[in-house]
Amino acid sequence: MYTQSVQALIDELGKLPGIGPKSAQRVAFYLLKIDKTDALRLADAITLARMNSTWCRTCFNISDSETCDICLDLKRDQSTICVVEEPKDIVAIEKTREYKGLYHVLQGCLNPMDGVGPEQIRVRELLTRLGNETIKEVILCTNPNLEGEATAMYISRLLASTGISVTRIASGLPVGGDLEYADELTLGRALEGRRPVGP
Amino acid sequence: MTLYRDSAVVLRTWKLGESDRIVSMLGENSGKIRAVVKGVRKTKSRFGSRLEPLSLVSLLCWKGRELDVVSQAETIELFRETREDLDRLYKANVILEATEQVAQDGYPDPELFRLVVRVLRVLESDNPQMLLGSFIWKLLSLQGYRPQMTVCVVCGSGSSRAGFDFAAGGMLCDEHSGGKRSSPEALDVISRSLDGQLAQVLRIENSPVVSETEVLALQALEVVLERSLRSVRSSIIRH
Ligand SMILES: [Zn+2]
Ligand SMILES: [Zn+2]
Repeated sequence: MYTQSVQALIDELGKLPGIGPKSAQRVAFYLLKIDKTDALRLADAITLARMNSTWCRTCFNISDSETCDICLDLKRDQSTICVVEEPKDIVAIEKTREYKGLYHVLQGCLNPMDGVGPEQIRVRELLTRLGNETIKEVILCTNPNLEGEATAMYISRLLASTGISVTRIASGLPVGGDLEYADELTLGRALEGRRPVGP
Repeated sequence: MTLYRDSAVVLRTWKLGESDRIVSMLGENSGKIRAVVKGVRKTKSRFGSRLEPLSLVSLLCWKGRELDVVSQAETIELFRETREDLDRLYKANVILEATEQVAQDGYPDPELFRLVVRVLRVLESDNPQMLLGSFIWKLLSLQGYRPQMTVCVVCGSGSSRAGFDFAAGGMLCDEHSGGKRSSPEALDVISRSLDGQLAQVLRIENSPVVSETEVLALQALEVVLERSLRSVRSSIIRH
């Protein structure tokens, strides 16, 4: 139906996450209609980002060199590692400006039903790091869903005998929300994790 | 579109688009349900954790052509002990995956629903060692798999219980058991689980029969599903 090159574009777009065949077609036709320079700028951006990006050898964040900017920053607390599932989680945590330590990206989470075990995520690399560096605290910042909780429990059990303090990010109510709409698990955990208030 | 109500156990979820999920559930009166939950991955979603796997919920859904859409969900049971204990969670994953594999879309099976809810409750409260093995045998029997447990499937002799071969149809006598030897105790547990005598079976503890029954159950399930369970293979959590 389409020319070979257009079909190839649709096929490639269709491999992207969250893009079905219909959307792939729509995006492809959009790209055919826009200015040639705009289309080439997009192609260049993909090429550059892909060619220049690699995984940080220490924390497995996205980086444009062997070691990422966060790992290179000696002003950061070198004794704390925050463990996250994906690089985008680092971005979310950095936006809070609450955290000044280092990170470790697992590049996934344990998902038994998808057959994802510890060998498929970067748990071994975390253990190696903890053996080499002088880490005092590991903060488990995986997603608060069944897979993320299982991942956190698994890692905390691995670290149980190391003497490193292992903490789990708290579950609580979203600020600005109404209590009555909170689900029971979140509200239960929020109650458990309550803290004293001043004065 | 029409609305329907049901109670359901959430078996599995998949990410969909930016912030949605598809959930696979076992409904009491609807059989396996596949439904979209809109916005559930946003931190302020009104669904919150209610449609996480392992939750027992009361549902209000729009019936769709391929996928239904969840309109409301209320928690009936959270199974919180199970969520926070790796050993229980491993077993829960096996229970949910096995159920998701055998249950059929739009085929109401209230008996299967009751079995799954009951087993999850026992897992939550007592976590007996025999739970996984006996659950799988009962699950297979509900699906119509009733291996012959009284006489040898090769010669019909009922004189000795010495082996078991699910693919061949059941029990084997001393003479025909070959490499497929099993203990009479394990065969007894399988037989009673198939008959639904779970309460007695679950009392067995600290016995080699526990793992023997479980291994035989997982092998049988593998024959039925024509593949092994991922949650067993990845065995992330156990040991
Ligand atoms: Zn790094
Ligand atoms: Zn025989």
